[in-house]
Amino acid sequence: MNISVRTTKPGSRHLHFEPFLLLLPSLVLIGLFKVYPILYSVWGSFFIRGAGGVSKFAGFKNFSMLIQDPTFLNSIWITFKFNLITIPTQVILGFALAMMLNRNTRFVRISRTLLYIPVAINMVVASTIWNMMLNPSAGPANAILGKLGIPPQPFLTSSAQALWIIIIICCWKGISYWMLFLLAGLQNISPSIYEAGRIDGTGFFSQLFYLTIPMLKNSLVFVIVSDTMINLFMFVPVYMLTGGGPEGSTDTLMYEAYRAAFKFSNYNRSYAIVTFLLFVTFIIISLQFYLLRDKDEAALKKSSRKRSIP
Amino acid sequence: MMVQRKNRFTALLNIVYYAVILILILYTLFPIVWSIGGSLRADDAEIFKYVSSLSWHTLVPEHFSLRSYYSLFVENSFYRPMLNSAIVAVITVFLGFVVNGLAGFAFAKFKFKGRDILFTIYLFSFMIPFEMIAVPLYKTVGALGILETRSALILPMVANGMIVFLYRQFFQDIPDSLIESAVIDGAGTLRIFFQLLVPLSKPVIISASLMMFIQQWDAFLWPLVAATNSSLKVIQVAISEFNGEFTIQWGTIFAATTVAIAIPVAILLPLQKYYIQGISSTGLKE
Repeated sequence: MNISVRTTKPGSRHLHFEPFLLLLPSLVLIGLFKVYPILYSVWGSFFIRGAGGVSKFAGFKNFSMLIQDPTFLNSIWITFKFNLITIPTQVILGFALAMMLNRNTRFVRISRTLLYIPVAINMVVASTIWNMMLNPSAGPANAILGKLGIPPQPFLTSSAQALWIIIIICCWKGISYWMLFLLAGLQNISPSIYEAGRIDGTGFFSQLFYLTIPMLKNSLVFVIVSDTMINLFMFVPVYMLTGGGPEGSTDTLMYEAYRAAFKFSNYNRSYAIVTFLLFVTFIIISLQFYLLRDKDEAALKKSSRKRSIP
Repeated sequence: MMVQRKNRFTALLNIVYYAVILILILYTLFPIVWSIGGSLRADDAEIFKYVSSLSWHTLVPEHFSLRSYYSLFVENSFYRPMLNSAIVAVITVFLGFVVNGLAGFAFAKFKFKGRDILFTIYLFSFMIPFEMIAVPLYKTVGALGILETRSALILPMVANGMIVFLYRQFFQDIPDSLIESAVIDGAGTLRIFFQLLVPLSKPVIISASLMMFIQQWDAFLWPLVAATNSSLKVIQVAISEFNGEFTIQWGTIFAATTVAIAIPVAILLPLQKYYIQGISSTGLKE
């Protein structure tokens, strides 16, 4: 039984349960509910449901149909635009905010607590509240704009504004959420490093680019990648506020995949969209592993236990 | 001259600093305070009155009333979706502790063939957003014949690569010698886990449980498609149905969002240290 099992230390060889037994429940659940569905959707994206509900192998037909489909191309463009604006806004503002709040004054402590509040609010609740905030006639957003001398805006009912509104709602929650991670990273940097920099007469920007950002690399890569994952699959505000409209202006890929499956029962089209997103995801995750690889660690890994110090 | 100009510059920088933070706080808090205020008003007319003429009563009700909460719980039976979410979340937390804790133990304290590959698969599984697998998962769960049951809401959420990662990280710091001495005393693996590791691991158990609870409390897309039966309806789906429903008063919707925020906050607030530790350590200790 123990052939393939070598325990950490000679003394603990007596642990008589196989580690695989400990892993079994999670292996079954992750295999069944995470790995299998992913493989299933890749597999399913190569089939087309023909007459009588029988699926037939169709090669890349689903994908070639997608590429010619203006709705899909529009969704790619919308998703790209949404990410291109949302991710830098969230990361840069979250980072700036983390730098501003990396002090220990009373004002900062209170501000931090207040700014953490949206972290506890999920997208369904956030969308619901903002939907009322932005009600063109009865919401306070237009009332506040009116006070500033700006005429009332249509917000979510305008194809020129709807995507921007969704971006604003996502940033409302996102900035404080990512600030939380970046602040934890900043607090891990020893102040003595800055003191050394100050003695050398480092200015603000060189300190930022040569000390802070390199020291914060791991947290920054984590935040950028996780933020991309969340925004690439943004669904809730689109589902709740616009239904992809007006005129497809907020029709993100994830909403399109949802609609294909659960509104039109066209699962193969949905799998093809999901497979496309999986492909993008795979590239992003690989990029993360590549960026986070530690050159020294690669050498160390061979000789000792795999464990890096942040 | 130089010094004076520098001082003036610092003063200006300070004003900008406080102004930026205060504006961000206003942007962050206004919708929350406005909606909580709205839930405590006697009727919608008062909400609209102070939107068309902004004053401090836009945020703070003129006359406090719990009418909206009465309407929410008594007329709209909101306690049912709340209870459904709570049941699903608590069972997930409990199963998740056993399943992910044991896996974390295996990864932290055993060496076996394929460990690194397996662990990478676990990590990948948590990096892939749930939304992505929702559609194929629907077919998988359908094939198991458990759609429209509580199991459909619970089982896919129990095993979680991130939680396994948290447990592994924590267990690695527990000295091997402690485990060896328990082995010498004749303790089996499960006994070592439950009687030695678990009592030492209170912080990680709390943060992992909080994360799993919040995940289920916030779950939306999956319950939306997998449990359309109204007897299984969870809180977020119930709220999304209020949204855009013209027959429901704004005050009632605000009461629902307030309750939906208040419950995780009430749980998180006393334990926020653990929660922040948990989520930030997944980001830092790559």
